[in-house]
Amino acid sequence: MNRVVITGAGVVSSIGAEGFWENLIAGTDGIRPISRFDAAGSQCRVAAEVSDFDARAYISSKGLSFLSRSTSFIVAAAKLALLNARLDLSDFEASEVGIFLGTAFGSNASMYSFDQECLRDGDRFVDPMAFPNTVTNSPAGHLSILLSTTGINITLSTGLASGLDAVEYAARMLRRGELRVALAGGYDELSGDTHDRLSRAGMLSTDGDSAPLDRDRNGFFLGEGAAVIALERLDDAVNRNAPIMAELAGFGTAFCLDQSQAASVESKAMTEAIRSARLDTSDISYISSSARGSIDGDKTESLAIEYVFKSRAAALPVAAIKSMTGECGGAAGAMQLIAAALSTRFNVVPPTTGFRAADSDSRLRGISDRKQFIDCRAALVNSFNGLNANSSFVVRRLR
Amino acid sequence: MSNRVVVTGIGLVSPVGIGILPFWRSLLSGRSGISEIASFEASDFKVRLGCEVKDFTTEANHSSGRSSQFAMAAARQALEDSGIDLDGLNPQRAGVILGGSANESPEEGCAELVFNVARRFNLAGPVCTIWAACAAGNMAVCQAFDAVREGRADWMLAGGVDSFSKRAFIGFSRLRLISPDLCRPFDLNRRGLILGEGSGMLLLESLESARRRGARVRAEIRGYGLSCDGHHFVAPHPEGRGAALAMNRALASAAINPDEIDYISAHGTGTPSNDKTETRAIKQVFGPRASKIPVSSIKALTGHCLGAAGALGAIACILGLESAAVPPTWNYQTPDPDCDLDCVPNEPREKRIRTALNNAYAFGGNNSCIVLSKFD
Repeated sequence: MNRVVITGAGVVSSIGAEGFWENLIAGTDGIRPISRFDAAGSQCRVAAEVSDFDARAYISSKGLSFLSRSTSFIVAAAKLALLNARLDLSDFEASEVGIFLGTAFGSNASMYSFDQECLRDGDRFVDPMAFPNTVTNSPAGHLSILLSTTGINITLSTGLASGLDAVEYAARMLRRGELRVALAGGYDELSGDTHDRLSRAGMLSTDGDSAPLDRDRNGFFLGEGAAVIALERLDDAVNRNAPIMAELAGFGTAFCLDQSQAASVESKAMTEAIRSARLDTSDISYISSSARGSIDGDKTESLAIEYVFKSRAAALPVAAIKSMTGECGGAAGAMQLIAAALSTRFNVVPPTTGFRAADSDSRLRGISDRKQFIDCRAALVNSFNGLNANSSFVVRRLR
Repeated sequence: MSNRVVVTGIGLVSPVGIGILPFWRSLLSGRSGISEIASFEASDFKVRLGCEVKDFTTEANHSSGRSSQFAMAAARQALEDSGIDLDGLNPQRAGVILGGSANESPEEGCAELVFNVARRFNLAGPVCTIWAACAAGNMAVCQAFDAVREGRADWMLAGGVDSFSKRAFIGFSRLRLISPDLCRPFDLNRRGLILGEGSGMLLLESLESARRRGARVRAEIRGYGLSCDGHHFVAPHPEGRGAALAMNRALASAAINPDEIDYISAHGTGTPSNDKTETRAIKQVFGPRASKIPVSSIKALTGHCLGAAGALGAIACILGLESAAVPPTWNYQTPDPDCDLDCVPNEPREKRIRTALNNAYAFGGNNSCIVLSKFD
């Protein structure tokens, strides 16, 4: 079996691009009053928006005008990942480089704006270059054009599990020898309409004061951004003296058909990830939780962690970085994976900002609003929808 | 683990018929799905032709969008065709991969439709949406093929869906890709595509599972190839570089010789650039033998059904293998020296097909090719 390692990572988020990790560890959250659209009519008026982002730093301004916000995020994250991995794609055949992206909301924002343009300009006069952005695979397509890659190019969606599932698809293709380098991860951008819809459905926090896994949580905050990981086979990475961040050691996924079974399905995804990494629950040093402040969803994941880790659950460090990044949809799992890989490298676990106390019946005692210094040999990363798709990864420090 | 992967069920909703028989009869008899657009007010447009699905009966108790209805209907047909007993099913061992170009509505999440299909039929194995515009149906089959081959599922529903949308019609019109009258693949006077809609679904199963339950095997999927042009978002690479790479990879993955291919179901959209570059790609892969291989496009009749196109093409291949007939390229009048292939003009051809290729290409530069063989 070919082992697959992370050799680089790039993130665009509300807490920065280059500064992502430092901000995570410092407990700096990106949740601010919404500026990209008018949220005055919405119950929730804050989100984790990407600001201070200048796409021109990553894409020549000639090509920029027609690209969607999602595309500019993903291109920036991919270029940062390549730099971080010290990868020069011209050293590879274009056909040996693949792109695998996950998204939860896809081109929804571009579809809205295209529809608005049609209303404003008239159907027969709308800018033809606005249309390709409404096709969901447009960020992945544009990325392949900008990087001149001709290998497999995938855009997939499994809801909130999209980012991890895209990384797993990439890892499978690398193991099978279809590729030598994969850029994998996910993205999503904020849109006023999605924000309003989720707000009306009562899923977003209304008082601006809600933290994942906290007993007083009352909903989540939307975020946006992109996260891309450079993946290679271990032997290739070693041969080119690449910086190795961590190994993708194991993956598990489980689909939930019945909401009442969600905790046991989530525990199945975790168990499978640990088993496929050939590890035991006692080898897991830390859990990067997909909790985001949802009343039921967070509870389900806590229960699932208790099922899997039994008596060890109490002492296990658990953190939810969505407390700082917001719910970034397709980017979320990949952001968590990058943060967890960095935890295995620097032996520090990010805080869950705003967390005060767990549910009274929860046995998890390893959640903190402070960073935690631990010996982080292997981390478990969860990306759960509850109902529907649920995926987990184990990332491990390479010795 | 490396299971052989066979097709034991097919289902479809198309502009030229709902279900296998009406579809196949239309492809052989030249019945076109083209008409004035009815699903939205198109009177503003000079050209208002489309290939819409007609006489579609909505499933009872099913209020969701048109794409969802098409996909559910095609999935149900494929399941019935396969004879699989859903009641005796272990949900963990079956899944569904659905391809498309974009959500039907920006109000829904990108995986909502595939999740609904999974829950409707109680499928808890691999479940995923693949977004790859016009190659999506084929690419969904590729991902499902992997899941069965690698033993992650005993069987998988896989295919694609898209419904006629004003947004897509405006977009393709503004990009000047729509023909003012007919879709004429490979013809010198081709002037563009006609948009279509629908859903095609295949039931892929491990040979072992098919044998265990005594299923009828319709075809075997031997392998596939994927690539990306990395060139331009809406225009194909002028030399067909990515398309050729996908075909070469498909042949290598199926471990077969190019000489074994006796039919190619072309992407053949009828746009000036696609058909020319696809011809170049086929010639690169097959050399002097290229002009001896029947190559046809069903899009003259069905229109371009976007996310469903690749799956409908794969189904046409399977029906061709089964009935020893090549579905022709209709509307063909004037040969184009840039498309000098045997494109089976206007008349079905009797021919024993053992192994066929199915091509599907897309906006964003995605290229996909599947190898299907008769199973015996």
